[in-house]
Parts: sequence; C-alpha cells; structure tokens
Amino acid sequence: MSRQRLHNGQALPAWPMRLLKGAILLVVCALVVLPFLGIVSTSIAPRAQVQAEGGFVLIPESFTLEAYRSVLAGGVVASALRVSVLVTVVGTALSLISSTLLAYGLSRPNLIGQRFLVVFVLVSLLFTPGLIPLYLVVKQAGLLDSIWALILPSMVSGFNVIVLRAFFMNLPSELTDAARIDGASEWQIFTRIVLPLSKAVTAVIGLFYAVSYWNAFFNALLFINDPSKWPLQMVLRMYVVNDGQLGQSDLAVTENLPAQPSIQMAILILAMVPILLVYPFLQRHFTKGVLTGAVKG
Amino acid sequence: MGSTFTRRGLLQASLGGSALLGLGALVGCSSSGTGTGDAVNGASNNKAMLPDHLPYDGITPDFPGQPGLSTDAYATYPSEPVRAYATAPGDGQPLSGLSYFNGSLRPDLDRNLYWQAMNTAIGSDLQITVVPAAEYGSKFATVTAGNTLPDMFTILPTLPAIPQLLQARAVDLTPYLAGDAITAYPSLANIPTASWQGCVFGGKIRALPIERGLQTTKLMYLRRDIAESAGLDAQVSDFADFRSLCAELSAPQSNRWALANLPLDYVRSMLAIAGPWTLEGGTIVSNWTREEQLDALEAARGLYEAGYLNPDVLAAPPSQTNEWFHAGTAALKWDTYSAWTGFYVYSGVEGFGVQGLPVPGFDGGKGQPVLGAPNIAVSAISADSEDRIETILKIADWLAAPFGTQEYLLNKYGEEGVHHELQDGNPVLLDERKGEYGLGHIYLAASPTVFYYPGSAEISREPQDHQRSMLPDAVPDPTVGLYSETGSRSFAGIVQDVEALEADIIGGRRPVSEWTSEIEAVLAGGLQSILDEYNEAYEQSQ
Repeated sequence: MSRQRLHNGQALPAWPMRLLKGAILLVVCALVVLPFLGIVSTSIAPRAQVQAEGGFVLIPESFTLEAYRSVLAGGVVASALRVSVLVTVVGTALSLISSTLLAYGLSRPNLIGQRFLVVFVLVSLLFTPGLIPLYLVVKQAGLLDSIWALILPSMVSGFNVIVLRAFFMNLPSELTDAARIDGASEWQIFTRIVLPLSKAVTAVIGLFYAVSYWNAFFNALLFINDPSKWPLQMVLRMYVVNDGQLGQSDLAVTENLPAQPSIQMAILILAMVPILLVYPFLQRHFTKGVLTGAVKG
Repeated sequence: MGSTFTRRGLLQASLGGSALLGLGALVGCSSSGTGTGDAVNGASNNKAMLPDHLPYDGITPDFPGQPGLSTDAYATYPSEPVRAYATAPGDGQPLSGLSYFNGSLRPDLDRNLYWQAMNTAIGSDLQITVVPAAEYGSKFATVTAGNTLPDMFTILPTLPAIPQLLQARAVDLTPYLAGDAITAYPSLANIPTASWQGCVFGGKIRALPIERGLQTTKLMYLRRDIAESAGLDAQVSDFADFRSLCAELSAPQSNRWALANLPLDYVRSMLAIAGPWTLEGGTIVSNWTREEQLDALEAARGLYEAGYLNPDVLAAPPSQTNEWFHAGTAALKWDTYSAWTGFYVYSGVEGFGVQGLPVPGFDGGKGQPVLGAPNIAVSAISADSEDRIETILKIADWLAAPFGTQEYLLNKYGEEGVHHELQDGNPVLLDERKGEYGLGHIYLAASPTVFYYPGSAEISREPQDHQRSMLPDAVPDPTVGLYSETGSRSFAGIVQDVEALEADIIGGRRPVSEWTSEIEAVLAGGLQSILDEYNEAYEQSQ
C-alpha cells in the first residue's frame, strides 16, 4: 500500500515517526505554555489554594480577580501603570516622528553631507556612550527626576533610523518625482506619499519603540528619584524579580490582601498583556516591514 | 568640575568610575590590589580614637540585656516618653539623602502625614531618594560618578572600595565624634562601641553606624503552636534529635514539611563551623575548608532526601519561605533575631507562636553559633556638605533617639490617632497608614535596637531569653572591622557561587565529595587573597 502524500508530493512519514514528532512537539509546547498557564492560574486562584500549593498553581479550583482588583485599586502598581502608558504612548509618538523625519532626510540623495550624517547615525550603533556619560548628560539637561528622562535619552534609535531609511530609499522615485512636478513640497511628498506607502515599516518600528519604552526600567532606576514616577517595569522588578513584599498601603486596599504570589503574577500579567495585545494588530505588517527595510538597505 | 586638572578632581572622577566598574583600587592602595596603603587599611581601625559610649539613662529596660550577650527588652512603652530634643535640630534647609528600602513604597509628601510630621519635628525637610535594596549598588555608583551625592548616603557592606570612596567623598567625623566630643550628640553616644568600630576607615571616623547589635544573629525558629498541637517535645540535644523533630513535623500528605529553608548553617553551628571565617590560633581561616563541612552537607542532604524540606525550597525566594512559615506549610525556619517579633506582626494566624531551638553539638554537648555583624550598613555625610556638618549630625542624633523618647515614638510609630493608637499605653500601628514610613531615613541614622512587641511583654522577652541561652556559646566573625580590598569586590560573588554549590549538593545534583575540590578552586580563584588580606589587617590591628 502506498503511503499518503503531502500536497507537495512528499510521502508522509510512517506513523511511529509521526507519533514521535507529535510527542516532541507536545513537550516543547508544554514547556512554553505551562509556565504561562501557571502565571495566569496563580493570579486568579484563591488564596488558600495558592498557599497550599506552595505559591504556584496550575489549575485553579475557583476563579477570583481579587489580585487584579488589589493592584489596580490605586496604589503603586496603578500609578506605575499610568506612567508606563504615558511614557510608551508619548515616547513612541515622538520617536516615530523624529525617526521618520531623520530617516527620510537621510534617504534623499541630494542631501548635503548625507554620507557623513549616515555614518554619524551608524557610529551610534557601534559605540554606546556608557552609563556615566549618559547620566551626566541627563543631569546637565536638568532632566533628573523628570519623566522626560525616560523618553528623551532613548528617543532615536540608530538601528530603527537605518531600517526606515532603507525602506524610504526603496520606494519608487517616479512617485516622488511626479509629485514634485505637480508642485508638491518635500513636506507634502513626505506626509502624503511616502508615509502612506510606509505604513508597514512604520508600524513595525513603532512596535519596536513601544516595546523598548514599555520594558525599560534601568533609566527609571538611574534618573527617577520620586517613586511616584516609576514605570511598571520598575515596580515589577522590585516586587517580582527582587521579591519585595507588597503591603496594603502599596495597593491602596484595606481589606485582607490576596496571597503575595497571586499579586506578583497579576503584576506580571499586567506588564505583559498590553504588548501581547498589540502584536496581532501589527503582525500582518511585521514580516513585510522588517524584511523590506533590512534586506534592501 | 573646573578646567584645572587637580589631584582632588582626578580622585573624584576616578572614584566615581571605579565604584561603578568595581575597579576602585585607585586611591591609596598598592597596585597589587592588596590594599595595604594607610588610607584603606582596615588594620588601623582598632587604633582609631572611637567615640565614648554613654548609654542613655533616661529609661530603664523592663528586661535589661547584657552587652554582647542579650538585647534590652521592654514590656511597655513609657506612658510619658521623655523629650530628648527641646528644639528641632534642623536649620530649615532640606536634608537630602540617598538610601534604600525593602518594604512598602512611600506615598508622596502631600499624601504622607508621617513624612510631614517628621519634617516638622526635625525642622528640615527630609528629601531622601530611596531605591530598592537590590538596585542600590547601581544607583549609588551612578550618583557617585555624577558627583551628585546628597548630604547623607547609606553605604551597604556589599559596595566596592568603601574606604577609598569615603576618604574621597565623606566628611572626616573624627573631630566631631571621637572621644568625649560625642557628648554633643547624646543619642549617637548611646550606640555601642562595637558598632562604631565598623565606621572607622584609615584611622578616622568616616561614617555613622546603622546598628543592629545581636539582631543579625541567626537561629532556628519553630512554630510552637504547631509543635504543641502535635504534642512534640522541641528540646533537641543533638543532630539526631533535630532530625527526629523534622520527621515528626513533616506531613507531606497534609501539605506540611518541617523546614521552610535550608538548615545547613544550623547544622554547621552544631559542628562549630558556622560562618565563612574563624579565628584559629591567631590566624583567620576559612570555615569552608574544614573537614566537618562534609558532615554538615551530608546531614543536610539527608534531611532533604528524607523529604523534611519543602520540595520547592531550593528555588524559593525569601518571601515564599516566610509565607510557608506563616501558613504552617513549614514549621521550622532559619532566620535572624530581628524576625522574631515580625513573625507575630505578619502572621495573622490564631494562636500563632514561635520559639527558638537551642544549638546543641552535632553529637551532643554544645554547638557554636556565630554572631551576626553589629551593623547592617553605615551612613556617611558628603564632603560637600561639611559646612552644615553640625546640623546634619544633630539631625542624625535626633533620628537615633533611643527607645522611650518622644522622638523614637514619632520615628517608629508616627503620630497618635493618625498612625498609631495607644492600647494599654502601647502604640499599635494603624494598617491604613503603615506604608508611609518608607522614607529611607532609618538607614541614615538609627538607634540601638531593642526587643519590643506592643501589647505583649511575653513576646518582647522571648527572644531575649533565647539570646541568654544561646549567645554565651557564640563566637564573633573575626573579620568584622577588618577590610579586604579583594573581598570588597569579589566576596559577594564567591558566596553566591558557594551557595549554589551547597544547593546542588543538598538537592542531590552533585555528590558531597565534590565540595572539597570546588572549594580548592574557590580558594585559588580569590578566596586565598581575601584571607591573606584579612590576616594582614588582623595582624596590624593587634
């Protein structure tokens, strides 16, 4: 009896091999999914079960959102969440504006000193200034303890500018030439022709920026002295990674707290979910945006 | 920094960078990194003129302690606390600081009544930047390098190149505090001499102690209520008794294991090899090289294999082990004396009770616990703030006001009716404002610790009783007050590696026999240099 064939003509492997492959894939999937399931389950499990099972629950006996209510009740986590959203939204917008403008300028062949400026951007990829010079610059700029210290030092990424520039250079010059003949200014060409054609790469670069703003904690550690301006990742670091204890006052709740592991896992979920939610909307742009920009540079 | 290339400028820049990079051997020490220069030599510590010790006599402890053997304990707070300061010590100018915190994050000043009350009482606004303890090193290094050190800053023992840093950036406090000069600051004079010894660098007083006295010494806690309900006799007279107790306390089918964390150091105390160092015939040696380590590891491993430790113990963070202990999932826990009253505060379990186990010899007789360090940190005053030194010292003195004073009451319990209410004369913190205390000031200046549990003389006294029974047999860490250049940079990492090795061996991932060869490698990889430097410093201190 001949074996079943795949649509490309290849023969299907024998069933023991398929079983083995399935088992291996199942194990790999479990390795990825189970920790995540544990995080979600622990965050919604009742206090007694969390304590009884040593702080990590895989299958909750019942369902409670007490941990989420506690961390969102207006204490340190809620405040940090606001800061993180603000920094991510404002930072991503400013980064996209500045990066696309810079990249578009660098992509124009008639720009005076273009080569030097491109090298200037490239050098920032090769040599980072280091912590102390960065701290001194932020200090001299009067940004210590300001939320702007979480945005301005990382506003323009050389890598993202190079990717954007490569994408812009790849756009058909006939389009911009035609617009120019019709009397469009550079600004009009940029906003009405180039940007609408660059949605894919802009979305991807925007995602890169958003993820980096959302995940950053070290700048906050160095530059922010007022804890009320800490972003969520700083709180995550303090209470989850460094095993700090969240008290009632931290969470602005007066009744009995959920178990600490539930609170920690709830913070972890809050720190992960916003970025996870953004990915599906940008996924269709992702491959196209990155490959077009990077390969044809 | 000006354009002139000065020695001081170079020093400051070097220290800033070196503190960050862990390459601080740039000031006053030999190129070999052995730290033999006078400026950094811990050996001269003991030769420095220390402040006189003038114990505060405004209040008599209900249960007086003995110096070096037990801590003062109080049954109640005085009904009419003494006012230590007639006027506010501040000068109206803010006091800036850099410190760390472990607990709750403080609310902003406008929502923080405790902070407002402290500012009013002190007469200067406390503007202290607080950083999570685990991140303090990074923040401190950057602030130092950026030359933005505040008026006062906390120095954790894990920071590198502390003597060099203090010499370059901190005020020499010797003229203000040495000998009887400290009488101008009676609360600081109340701090025992042992703590001041850790504040002397290069023969000068460069810091203030954050005293913990005997509270940092560790013991084995037992949930007394669990033991009593099981009808167990908690008196252990050797390791076999301890193992039997563990067996009786373990009931995995009821989700309970005997031990919340590794008992290795407890077993080591039974074998008189606790702590990394010991003094043997006038020479400091590493306890890790002792043959008895193999017995300790084998014994601890046996407890793990028998299922007397929570199965997640090797990966559990401290908060988790506390949770197990509070919930009764574990009945034994290795922790410091400072945790004793805290267990009662956070337990929330009806009938909760703890007791400390004795430290018997492994095969009977007496064991040998090791004393913890008398300070958990020190604090220093920035050289740039020397023009305000007397005001800053007065504020520090205010913050170090001893138990029984009005200042202590405000410092620890806030205002009556707002942060605490009096129950039978004892201040009991109100839950809704407990988070306001994390200003960081408790790591800039602190009074000597006492045992006091509001509302229970018995709980206040229990740990002292245990100290009286255990600490006469305890030995101090011989390296306290000594400085090792290599140790300041690498010992924390070495300890981390050794602890990982211990966990591997106890968990059965590696055989006990590997301990010896691994420790030989650790010796060759830096531990021997640390030992040599400590011994050199010790010899010079004698």
